[in-house]
Amino acid sequence: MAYTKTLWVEDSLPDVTAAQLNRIEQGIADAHAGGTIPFVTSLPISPFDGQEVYFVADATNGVVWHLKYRNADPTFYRWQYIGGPPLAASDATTRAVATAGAWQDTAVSLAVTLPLAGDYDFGTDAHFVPSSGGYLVSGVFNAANAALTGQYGGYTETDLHNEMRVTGVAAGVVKVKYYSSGGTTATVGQRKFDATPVRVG
Amino acid sequence: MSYTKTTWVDDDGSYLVGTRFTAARGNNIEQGIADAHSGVAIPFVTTLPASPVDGQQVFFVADANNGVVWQLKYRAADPSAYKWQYVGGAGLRNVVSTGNSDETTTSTTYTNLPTAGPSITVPLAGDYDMEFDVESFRNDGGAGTDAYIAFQHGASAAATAERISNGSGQLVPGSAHRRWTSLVASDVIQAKYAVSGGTGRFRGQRTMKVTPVRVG
Repeated sequence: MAYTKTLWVEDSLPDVTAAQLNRIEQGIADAHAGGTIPFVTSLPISPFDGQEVYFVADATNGVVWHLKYRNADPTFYRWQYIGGPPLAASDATTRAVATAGAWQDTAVSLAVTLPLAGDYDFGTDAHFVPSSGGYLVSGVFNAANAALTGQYGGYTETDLHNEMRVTGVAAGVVKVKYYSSGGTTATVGQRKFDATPVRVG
Repeated sequence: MSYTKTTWVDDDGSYLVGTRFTAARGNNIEQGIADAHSGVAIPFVTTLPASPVDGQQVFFVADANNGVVWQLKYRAADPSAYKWQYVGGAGLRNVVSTGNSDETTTSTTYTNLPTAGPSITVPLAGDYDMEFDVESFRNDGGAGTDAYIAFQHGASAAATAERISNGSGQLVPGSAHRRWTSLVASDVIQAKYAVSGGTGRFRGQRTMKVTPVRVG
């Protein structure tokens, strides 16, 4: 919990009492135990340089990010990511990418919801099976269907892992979409998608 | 900010020695505890402390413009010269992209493509992990000709032993994960390209991420 300071003034109350000294001792003990930086579900409104929080990015799945505020950061995103797992979505089922020549979702979306705007690293994994003679690629899109990353894939069946950094991403849903250049038999399977912040705000 | 301790000395009854509990000293204690609670007690730094103590922590600003900060903790027992252990933070990243166009080389020794890189300069000496991805690459010289990607790191030239290759003639994505020890501060890690014959074609985005293991 946050530590409440006493303002000491010469020849004024409060006296140096056992209660005051025990409050100080408890503050030191709490700091040593590491439990003094708070969990938050929204960022502090008036942060100060060096302030730290543990931001609960996904309460259901236990995703917590350690963030530290750096006033000198030249962007709006001054909470620097220090640690914590990514937001993640996965789907082991093989899904059809049946429409050629258009970016498309699969029957089950592979998506995560970013709780904060900022710069993010996105990671994608999938087993790609293009249609014969065509290529199959994937990309990351926002909720407005604007592409956030380049496209990754190729003409051959392959297991593909890719990571990209995207700056200035709005909070909200981001998802993986697919493009098949031709044919109707392209599939993707064993999919995974994750998002890790670099800095947020 | 760092905490400046008061060294307390007991009163011996003579009133000639001893440290009084003053408001200033009391408030110094209060601020020190409050700073420890908020996190500001562990500073941002752009150079590592000259005389660290075991367990000391810093937040090293590895790339100020791109918001990359590493939490480092000093472990005196580390057997190497790199005693600042990486415990968190984003990686340094560099991306080059040629869209849907190929960049090519016919060089049989490792060289730059017309768009060089990606490359990353490490800010501190130490051990690092590197991750590399290329959207797709191939060699159009037919069977038996390969396209190669390898990595220069510091004084070490791109080496065959560390390369990735594709001799299928089909565009395929490529990736590599490597750990290199004992890099020197300001060493450059850079992707280089070659072929065994024919023409190597490298398409789309090429991305590199570097994360420290331990530095000093």
